[in-house]
Amino acid sequence: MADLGNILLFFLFPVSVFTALAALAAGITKRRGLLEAARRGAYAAFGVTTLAVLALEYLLVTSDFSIEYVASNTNYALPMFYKIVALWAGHNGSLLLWTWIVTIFIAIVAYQNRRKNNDLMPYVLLMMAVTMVFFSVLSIFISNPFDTLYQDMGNQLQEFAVPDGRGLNPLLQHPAMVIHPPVLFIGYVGSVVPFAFAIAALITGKLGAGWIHTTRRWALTTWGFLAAGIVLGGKWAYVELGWGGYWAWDPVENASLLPWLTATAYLHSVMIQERKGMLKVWNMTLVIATYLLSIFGTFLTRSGIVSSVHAFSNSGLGPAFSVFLILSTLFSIALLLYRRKDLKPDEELQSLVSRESGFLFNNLLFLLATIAVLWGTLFPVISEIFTGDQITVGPPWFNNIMIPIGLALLLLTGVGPLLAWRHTSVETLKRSFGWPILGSFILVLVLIGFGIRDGWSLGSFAISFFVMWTIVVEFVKGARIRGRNSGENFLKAVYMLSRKNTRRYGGYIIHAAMVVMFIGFTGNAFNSETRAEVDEGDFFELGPYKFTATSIQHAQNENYSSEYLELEMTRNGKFVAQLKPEKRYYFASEQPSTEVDIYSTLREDIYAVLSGMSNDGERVIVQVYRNPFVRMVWIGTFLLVFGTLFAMLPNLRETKSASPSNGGIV
Amino acid sequence: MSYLGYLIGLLSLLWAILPLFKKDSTWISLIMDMDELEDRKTRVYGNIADLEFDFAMGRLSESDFNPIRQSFLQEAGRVMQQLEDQKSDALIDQIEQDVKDLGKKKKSKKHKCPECGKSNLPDARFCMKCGKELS
Repeated sequence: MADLGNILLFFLFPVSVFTALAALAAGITKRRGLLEAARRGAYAAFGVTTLAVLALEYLLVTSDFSIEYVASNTNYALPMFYKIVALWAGHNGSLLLWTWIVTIFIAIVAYQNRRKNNDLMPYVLLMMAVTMVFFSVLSIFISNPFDTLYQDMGNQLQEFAVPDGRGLNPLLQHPAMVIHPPVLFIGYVGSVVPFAFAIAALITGKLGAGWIHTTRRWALTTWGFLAAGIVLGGKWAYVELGWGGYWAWDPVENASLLPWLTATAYLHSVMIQERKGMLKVWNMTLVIATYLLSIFGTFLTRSGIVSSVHAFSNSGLGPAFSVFLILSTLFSIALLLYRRKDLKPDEELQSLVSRESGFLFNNLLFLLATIAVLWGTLFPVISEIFTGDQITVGPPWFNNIMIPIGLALLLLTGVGPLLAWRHTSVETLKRSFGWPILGSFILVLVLIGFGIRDGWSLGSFAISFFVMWTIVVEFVKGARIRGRNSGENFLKAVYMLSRKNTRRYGGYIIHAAMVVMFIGFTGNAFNSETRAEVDEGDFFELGPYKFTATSIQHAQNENYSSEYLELEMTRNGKFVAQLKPEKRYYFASEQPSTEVDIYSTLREDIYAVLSGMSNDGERVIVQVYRNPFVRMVWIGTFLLVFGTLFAMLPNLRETKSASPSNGGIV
Repeated sequence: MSYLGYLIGLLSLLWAILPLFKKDSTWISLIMDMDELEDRKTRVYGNIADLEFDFAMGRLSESDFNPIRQSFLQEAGRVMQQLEDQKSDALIDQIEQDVKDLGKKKKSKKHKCPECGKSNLPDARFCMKCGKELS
C-alpha cells in the first residue's frame, strides 16, 4: 500500500507539469483542445492525490509501523478517530493535506469555468498548476509521508518496522486541533484562486470587473475559513496549552493573521473599485500579497527560522520556499509594472468625508497592521543578521501597536457605513452620530462609576457600544422604511431587507461579530490569577470565589495515566461548580500533558490548571485564572461565520412589486 | 500493488493528453470595449441604487441628492447609448456576414435547370417551370 501511495503521489508531478504546459500553450494559441487537456490535467491531479491520501489513511488506520510517518504520529492504543486525523498531525502528512487542497481547488475552478472565462482560464490554470508543481516537489522529493523506516545492517540499509509507534503528540489530541489545520489550510490555499485570476487578468490585459466578479465568493469563503482557522487555533491554545490565554503573538499565529489582514483590506477596497473604478493597482497588490503571505505563513511554520509552539523546525524546506517566494514576488511585481498604465483610476476622490475615504483609512490601517505584525514576527531574524542574536519582541510590543490600530479599525466599522458615497455634509453627520456618541459618553461615565479606570478598556467599550448602536440603527431604520412602503411587519421587513442585499447586511453582521470579539479581547485587561499548593481539604480564594480541594485522584487507561484534583468552587457559601484539572502522562509518546478545566459563563471563565506536585511531593500545585468575557470571542466567531455565509447567499429578487416611489431599493 | 499505481497514474495522464489528438478549433476573444462598457453600466446602476439607499437612510440631504442622481442618470444614458452603438455595429457586421453566407449557399446549393434556366430548390428532382428531370 505504501508503494501504491508513493507511486500515485509521484504521478502528481508529471501531471502538474503537463497541466501547466498545456495551460500555457492554450493561452498562447487559444486552442480548445489544449485548454481541455489542461482542464483534464487538473482533474487528474485531484484524482491521483486523492488516491494517495486514501493510501496514507489506510496505512495510518491499519498501523503500518514500517512507515516512518505512521510510526512517529500514531500507536496501536490511539483511538481510531485520532488515527484518521493523524494525516495532518505531522509535518509530511500536513504538507500532503496542503497539496491535496490545492488539487481540490484547481479541480473545482476548472469545473466551474468549463464553459466560461475562456480567455482567463489558461492562465488561471497555469498559476494554480505552478503552485501545484511546487507543492508536489516538496511532498514527493523533500517531505514524503510514504518514506519507510530503514536500519543500518553493516554495509546496507534494510527496511524494518517498529513494534509500536510513538503515538500522537498529546497536545494534538483535542477536537479543536483536529479541525484547526484543515480549516486554516483551506483559508491559506484558497488565496491561490483570486491570485490566479488576478494574474490571469494582468497577463491577458482583461482588467475589467470580470476577474473580481468571478472570485468574489472565493475571496469571501477563504477569508471566512482563515478567520475561523485562526480562532480555532486560539481555542486550542486556550484549552490545551494551559497558560490561561488564547493569543500570544507567536510567530505562527502571526503568520496566519497576516494574510487575513490583507484579505480583509481587499474585501473592503474592492468595493471602491466596483463603484468608482479606483484603486485597481492596490486591489491587485492586496490579492497578490494575500497569496504570498499565505505561502510565507506556510514557510514560517515549516522552515523553523523563528522558534514557535509549532516546532516543525528545520525540515529542509527553507531554501525551496525562499526561492519560490522570491520568484513569485518578482514575477507579480514585474506584471504589475507592465500593466500599470492600464490600471489607471477612472475617477478621482471627491471629498475627504465620504464612504470612499472611509475605505481608504480602513486600508491604511490594515496596511499598518500588516507591516507591524510582519516586522515584529521577523524581528528575531532581522536582529540576528545585524547583531548575531535573536531578539524577540514580546506580546507587550505587539499589544502597544495593535491595540490602537484595532480600536481605530473598530471605530471605522461604525463610522464608515454611515458615510454616504461621494460626499457627506456636516448636517447629516450630526444627525447620524449625535445619539450614538452621547450614548457612548454616558456609558463611559457609568463604567468609571463602577471603578474601571483603564483608558484603553474604556475606549474599547465606548467604541463597541457606538458601533453596535449604529449597526442596530441600520437594520431598524431600513426595515421601517421598507415596512412603510411594502406593508410588511417589522421582522419580515428586516428579513426581506437583508436578503435583498446580502452582501451589505452580511457585512454588518460580521461587523457586529467583530464588536462582540473586541469585547472579549478587552476582557484581557481585567484578568486575574492565583497559585496555591493544596492538600485534600485546603482552600484558597480568587476574587469573590472560594476553592476547596476535595480530593486528589489517580486514574489510568491504555493510552495514558492521569492525576487529577477535584476543586469545589463556591461564592458566598453557595456551590457554583466542581472543577477537575488534570495532568496526564501519555505512555507511547512519553510526554506529559495538562488538561485544564474551565467553568465558563458569558461574564467570565474560571480556568483551573494542575501544574504539578509541590517540592516535598505532599501537595499539588494548582493555578486558577479568572478571565472575563472570553466566551465573547467564541460567540463572536460563530456570528462571523454566520455573517460570512449570509453574505454569500444570492440576493433575493423582489416578487411583489414595491411601490414605485421607493424604487424597490430598500 | 505498485503495478496498480503505475496503471492508474499512466491512465490518468493519458486521459489528460487525449484532447490534444482530437480535431481542434480556437475560440475568439470577446471584444474588449463591450466588456468595459458592461462594467461601466453595472457600476452606474450600482451607484444609483446606493445613492437612493443612502438618501432613504437619511445620509444625504435633498440638495446633495438631486444633482448627484441627475449626473448618474446622464452617465447611465451615455453608457447605454454607447452600448447600443456597439451592439448595432456588431449586429451590422453579423448581418453582413449572414448575407455573405446566404449568397454562398445560394450559389453552391441551388439547382439551376439546364433546360430553361429556372432556379430550383436544392433537393428538387424536377424543374418546377418546365418539368425536366434534374440530376
